[in-house]
Amino acid sequence: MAQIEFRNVSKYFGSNKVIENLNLTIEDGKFTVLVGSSGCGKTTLLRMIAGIGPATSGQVLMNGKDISEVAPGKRDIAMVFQNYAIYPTMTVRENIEFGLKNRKVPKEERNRLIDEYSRIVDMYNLLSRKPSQLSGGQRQRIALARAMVKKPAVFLMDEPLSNLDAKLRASMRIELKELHQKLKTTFVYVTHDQVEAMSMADIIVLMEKGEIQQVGTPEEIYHEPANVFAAQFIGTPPMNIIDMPNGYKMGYRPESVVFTAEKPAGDGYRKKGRIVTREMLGAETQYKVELSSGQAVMVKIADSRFREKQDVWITVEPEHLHYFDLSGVHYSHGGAPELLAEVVGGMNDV
Amino acid sequence: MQKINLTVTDRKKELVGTVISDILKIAVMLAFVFPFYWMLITAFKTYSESVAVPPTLLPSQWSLEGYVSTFNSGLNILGYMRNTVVVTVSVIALQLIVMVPAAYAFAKRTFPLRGLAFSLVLVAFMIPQQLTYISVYIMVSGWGMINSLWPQILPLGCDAFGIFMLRQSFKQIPDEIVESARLDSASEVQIMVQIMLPMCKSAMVTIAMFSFIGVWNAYFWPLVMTRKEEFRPLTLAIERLRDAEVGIRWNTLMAGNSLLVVPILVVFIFASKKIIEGFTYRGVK
Amino acid sequence: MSKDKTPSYVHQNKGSLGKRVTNAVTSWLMVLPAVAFLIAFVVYPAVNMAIMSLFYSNATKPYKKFIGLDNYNTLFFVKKDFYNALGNTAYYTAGALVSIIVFSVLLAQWMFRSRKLNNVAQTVFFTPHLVAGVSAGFIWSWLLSSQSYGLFNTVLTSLGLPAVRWLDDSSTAMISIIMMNTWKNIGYYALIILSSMKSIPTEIYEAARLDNASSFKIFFRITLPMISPQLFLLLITITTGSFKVFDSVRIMTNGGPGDSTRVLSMYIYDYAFQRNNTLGYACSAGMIMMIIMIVLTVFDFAFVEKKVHYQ
Repeated sequence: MAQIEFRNVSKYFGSNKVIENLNLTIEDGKFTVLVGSSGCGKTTLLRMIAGIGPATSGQVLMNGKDISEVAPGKRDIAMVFQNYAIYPTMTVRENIEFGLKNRKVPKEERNRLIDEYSRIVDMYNLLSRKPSQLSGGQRQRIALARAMVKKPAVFLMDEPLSNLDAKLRASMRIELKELHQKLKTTFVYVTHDQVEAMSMADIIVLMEKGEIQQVGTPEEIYHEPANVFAAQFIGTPPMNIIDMPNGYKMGYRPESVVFTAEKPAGDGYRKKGRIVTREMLGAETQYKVELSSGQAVMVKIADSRFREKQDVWITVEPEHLHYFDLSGVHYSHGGAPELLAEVVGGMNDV
Repeated sequence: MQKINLTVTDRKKELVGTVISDILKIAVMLAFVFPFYWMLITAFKTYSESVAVPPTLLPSQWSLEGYVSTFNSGLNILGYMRNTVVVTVSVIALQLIVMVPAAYAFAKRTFPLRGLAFSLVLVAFMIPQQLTYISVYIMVSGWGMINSLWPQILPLGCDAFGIFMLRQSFKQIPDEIVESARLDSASEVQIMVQIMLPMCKSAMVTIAMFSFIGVWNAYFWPLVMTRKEEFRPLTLAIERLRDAEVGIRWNTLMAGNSLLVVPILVVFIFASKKIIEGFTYRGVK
Repeated sequence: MSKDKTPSYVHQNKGSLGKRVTNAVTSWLMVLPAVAFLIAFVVYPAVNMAIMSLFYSNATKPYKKFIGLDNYNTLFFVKKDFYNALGNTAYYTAGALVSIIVFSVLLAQWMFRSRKLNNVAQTVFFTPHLVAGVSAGFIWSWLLSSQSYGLFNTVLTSLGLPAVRWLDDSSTAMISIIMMNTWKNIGYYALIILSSMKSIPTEIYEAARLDNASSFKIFFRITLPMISPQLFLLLITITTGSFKVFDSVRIMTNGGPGDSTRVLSMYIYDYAFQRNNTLGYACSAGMIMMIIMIVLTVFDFAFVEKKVHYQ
């Protein structure tokens, strides 16, 4: 088990800076997901932990010790690559065995481990196959077995599910989750897919342009987004963001809207609008609503009775309203009566 | 859990290794070009210095003696050079005229017996040219051509590999472009000259480059295909320089040799990227 | 080489017979010069050589007298010098093959990382390949001169080592020629090997480093097996290329000392043009050489088709 800490790390590719002075602690034993759009630096961080893409400056610590100068093979970590990086000329057995041999694990021990882990990933019967004879899902399992068999203190995964089809991806998500519960080691998982991040992570590290936007549990990120970026990155569809006259921004999730045909009673955020499109998704229905101000917002509710071109009223209760200050940083959630008054006073429909 | 070994500073070790390897690499690179250096400075030595013991790394006195005696050797060096240039240029021109239409037809047209014609190209590709020379010699001498430059030009008029390469690059042009040109009522000649050729310039340059290097450097083929000095290229003249009656004079020989080598090196300096790409392409195919 | 497939749809659904005939004629006019050249100067001469190998003849009278397989009989059972030439060629080929493959693989590995210095190195190592075999032969004859002013011997003696007679000694002459051709060719083959090394996904190397594999082990367990299909092809290319060696041998030793470097191509040339009435005999030797080389090339083609594709 291990805790990973980045201290003031920077990474430059030539003169192109990817990460500058980043600090982050990855907790021991947790399933941490680094999530962000492509080029945000998440894979760069992962490669720093692995030692295959060292930081330009700064330190990477493992359990408090600087490992910046330690060779990748001596770091007690294992990595699963996006394209699995299976050794194509070796059989499944040799693939799993390679790392063990290099660590001078005795033969009987090796055989026992290969036996055990090939059963765990359900590849025991295919040990003598060559990778070219295997499907994508099976290669994925070799990559996992190859990583697990080393019993590493840290598991690194770089978009390991992105090459699988949707169905297999969903089942592998659950398998990886179970694997983490069983092994209880530190997992660091990189993905650009927020659904994957939300469904698997203990801790999400949300990144953009080389900077950390927010670190928190999926609940925290969903309910308490640190800024406009976080609010819009997580959630499908993303949070509706509405400009306020004072330059602040207000936001609410499509899921927290109440829809009525008639004007609702009471004070607070009440808006009139017209349904532009309607998508029936099964348990929920997603509407695009054009407000009288001309802005379009997304609404996602269980009620599927509303139709396109229908006039509706939108209600959002104060506890579901988020406010962001001029620089986009989260300002208040639910509270801030002075802002609510401004919204109600200045923006509400009558 | 394994203990992390912190005593090893692997990155520092690696850095030291890189520096040592770089120094060694530069040394090997120098060794690689040294023969050319040795050729050039020998060419600029006087005869007596060229055979001095121990040899000098730089001429103590820069001299054109080697070059002067090359041109005064009784050999018509300029004539040999002219032959080399004429043959090289003619082969390139002939090859392009013969090969481009064929490669185009193989790539973009369907016609009866196309498969058969193309398998002939394949067969020709497999037959090593060096083994056909006896028959070719008998043939061209039967045609009364042996006392001309033709035997060095005609038999090289079509190169099977060049056809492959051109065909490949024609094939990469989408059929829709040819189609729309036809719809614009362009003639076949127009399509080839105005549309296809500009798009295959790179492949044609590469083929011309291979022919230039191949023909310029050719020794065996002209040796077999000529009987008289007046039709021989520079490569054979250099050999004559060695066999001069005065015995081997290395400064003269290296001066003559440099006339053969330097043009190639100059072309390489200006087009090294293109040449390396072309050769790698040919090697990987 | 990819097989000829696609009849492109461009000319397929042509209407009238007249149009189809015009199309066929135009197409054939385009192909004809090339086909004619290849038949006249490659295919026919090859066939003709097979026929001439059955005749007793000279350059002016190629079909003097039909003697069946007599030339082959002489080749294999009467004259002993054919075996000498074959043996020399085999010696040269084996030596060149081993030294070129080994050194060019090492060179490619050495230039693997993408760096400015390695780009320059690629250009430098490639340079000798462009130069005429004749020129390279002359330069090396000069370097290897066994006179006291020969550069290599000067270096050897200044290091306290005995001078070597290089090209003038039958035990070192062939080795000297192999040395020269190694210098001339490894830069080229290293480029090809390098391009195949670079096609290996970098993640595989990274995974191997994470598996604690030493560079030595990565080279032998990952790199080498993964480039082996390409290496195998090069093996054949180098073998057929070495079988044809002529220019450098002719310039550096002209077959000597004795007959110690008389290779097959030189042997054939001598019998075809330097002696009387042995043209048919030269053709029969050429046929043997051709058969050996075609077998190797066909092997090459068959292998390309089945070339292993990873991932």
